[in-house]
Amino acid sequence: MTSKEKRVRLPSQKRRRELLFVGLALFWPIMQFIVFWVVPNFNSIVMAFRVPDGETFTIVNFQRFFHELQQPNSPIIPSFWNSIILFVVNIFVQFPLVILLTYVLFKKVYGHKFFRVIFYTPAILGASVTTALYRYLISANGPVEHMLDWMGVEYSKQLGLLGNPETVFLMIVLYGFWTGVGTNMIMILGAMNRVPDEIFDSARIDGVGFWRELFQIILPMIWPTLTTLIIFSMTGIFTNSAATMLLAPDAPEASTIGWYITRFTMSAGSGLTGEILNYPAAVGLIFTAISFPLIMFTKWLCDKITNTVEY
Amino acid sequence: MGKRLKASRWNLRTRQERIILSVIFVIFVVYAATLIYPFIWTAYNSLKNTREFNRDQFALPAVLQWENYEKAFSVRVGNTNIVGALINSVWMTVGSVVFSLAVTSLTAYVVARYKFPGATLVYSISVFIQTIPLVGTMPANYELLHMTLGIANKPLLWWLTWTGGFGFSFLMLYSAFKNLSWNYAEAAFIDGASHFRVYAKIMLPMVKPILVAMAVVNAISAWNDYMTSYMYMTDYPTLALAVYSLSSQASRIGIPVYFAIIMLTVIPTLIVFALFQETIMQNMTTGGLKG
Repeated sequence: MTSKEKRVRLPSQKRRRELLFVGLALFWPIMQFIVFWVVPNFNSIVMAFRVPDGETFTIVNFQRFFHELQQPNSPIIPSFWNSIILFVVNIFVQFPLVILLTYVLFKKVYGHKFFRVIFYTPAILGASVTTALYRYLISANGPVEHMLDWMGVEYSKQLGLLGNPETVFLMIVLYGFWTGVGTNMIMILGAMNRVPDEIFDSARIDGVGFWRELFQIILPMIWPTLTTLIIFSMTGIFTNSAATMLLAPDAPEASTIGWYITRFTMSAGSGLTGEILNYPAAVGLIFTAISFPLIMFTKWLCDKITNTVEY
Repeated sequence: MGKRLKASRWNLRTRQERIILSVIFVIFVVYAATLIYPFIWTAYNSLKNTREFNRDQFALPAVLQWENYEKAFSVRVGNTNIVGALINSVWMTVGSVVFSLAVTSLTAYVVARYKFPGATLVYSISVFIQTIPLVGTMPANYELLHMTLGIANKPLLWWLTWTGGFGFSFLMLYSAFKNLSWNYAEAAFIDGASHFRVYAKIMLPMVKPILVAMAVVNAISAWNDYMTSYMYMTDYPTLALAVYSLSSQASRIGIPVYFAIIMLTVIPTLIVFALFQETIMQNMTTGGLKG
C-alpha cells in the first residue's frame, strides 16, 4: 500500500519540481516580453486612436494623415515610393544577384574564402561607419567623381552627389547595393552547404550544367531559407530608415516611411515642436495594416511553392 | 597536394562553367576592391595633417601624424568626449551581450527541452513576432522608455531592456538545444543533480560554439548600434553614434582626425571578427537559419 502510494506520488513530485524550474526560468523573460513588447505594441494601437489629454476614442490622427496625403508637397508620398523602390530593388535585383554570386562562391571559385570574409565586412563595420566611408567615396574630388570624369559622364557637380536632389536617392539605392551583399550571402551559402553532396554527384553524372544545377537543384532545395529571407526583408519595407538617416536626413527626395516616422517621433518626443507622438503612431498603424496582409500573402505563396517542388 | 586538387577541380568544370566563373571572379575582385579600398584610404588619411589631406587625398602621408589619434580622444561628442564614447560603447556592448545571452539561453533551453503547457505556443509566438511588420511601435516605445518607465538615459535601469529572452538568438539556441542528446542529463538527474545544475554544468557547455558565435554577432551589432543612444541614451553617446553625429562637423575637427575616430571605432570589431571569423561563418552557415 505504502509502496504504491509512493510510486504514484514520486513522479508527481518530480513533475512539480520540473514545473517549478520551468516557471522560475520563464518568469522573467515572459514579464520582460509583456512590458517591453506587448505593452508598447498594444499601446501603439491605442495611441493612434487618441490625442494627448483626450480620454476618448478619436480618428483625428487618421484624418490628418489623409489630409496630408492630399497636400501638394506632402512628404509621405515620396517617402512611400522610396520605401517601395528600395524594397523592389532589394528583392528583384539585388536578391537574385546575391543568389548567383553565392552560387559561384559555393562552387569554390578561386579565393572563395577570402571573398566570403570581405563581402561580409560591411555588416561588421556597421552602418554609421560604412555610410561615413561611402560619403567620402562619392564626395567632391573623391574617387567616384574621378571615375565618372574618366568615363566621361556628365552631371552637375555643384551640389555633390548627395546634395543634388536628382541624384541623392540614387546614391542611397547604390549604397544599399554596395553594402547589402554579405548578410544574405552568408545565410544562402549556409543553405547551399546543407544540400547533400550525393545530389550533386548524381547530377554531374547526368550531365547537369551550371544553370540547370542552379535552377533545378539548388533553388528548390534552399527555397525554405530564401522564403525566410524574403519575409525578413518584407518586414522592413516601412521601417528601413538607416541609409536615409545616415546619408541624407534632410533631403525630402530621399526620405522613406521608416525615416518619416522616426523623425516625427524624435521631434514630437523632444517636446520642442508641439507635435504629438500619436500622429506617427497612427501613420505606423496604417503601414502595418498595408504590409501585414502582403507578408501573409507572400508567406502563403512561398509555402505553396515549397509544397509543389517537394523533393 | 592541395594545388593538384584545385587544378583537378578546375579541369572537371565544363567550358561554359569556366567562362561564367571567370567573369564572376572579375566582378568579385572589383567588388572586393571597392570594399577594401575606402578602408585603406581612410586608414592612411587618418595619419595625415589637414593641409596634406586637402592638397592630395590619394598620396600617402609624408610623415605619420600619430597625434591625430591623440587629438581624436579629446574631440567633444554630446556632453562627453571620444574617450567617454569609447567607455559607453564598451559597457553597453558587454552589458547587452551578457544580460541577453544569460536570459535567452536559459529560456531557449527550457522551451526546447521541457514539456509544459504552452511550450509550443511560446515557440510559435517567438517565431511569429519576427515576421510581423510593426511599423508604428517607435512612438509607443519612446513614450514607454522616456515617460512611462523613465529608464531612458538611466544606465542602472537600462539593462532591463537587454534581458529579453525571445529574440533571434532564441531561435538559434532553441534549435541547438533541441538537437542535443539527453543522455548526460538523464545520468546527472539519477545522480540527484538539480535542473539548474544540469542546465549550467552539462547542457550549456555543449552549445558553447553557438553561444560564442551568438555572443560575437550580438557584440558586433551592439558595438555598431547608434540608434539606441540616438533615441534613448542621448546622454551616453557611443562611438558608432559619434561617427554619425560628428560627420557634419568633420571639416571643423579636421577630416584626418575624424578618420582617426572612424578607425578607433572599427579596429575593435575587426580584431574580434578576425579572431572569431571561422566560428561565426561555421555556425551561421552550417547550423544557421532553417526555413
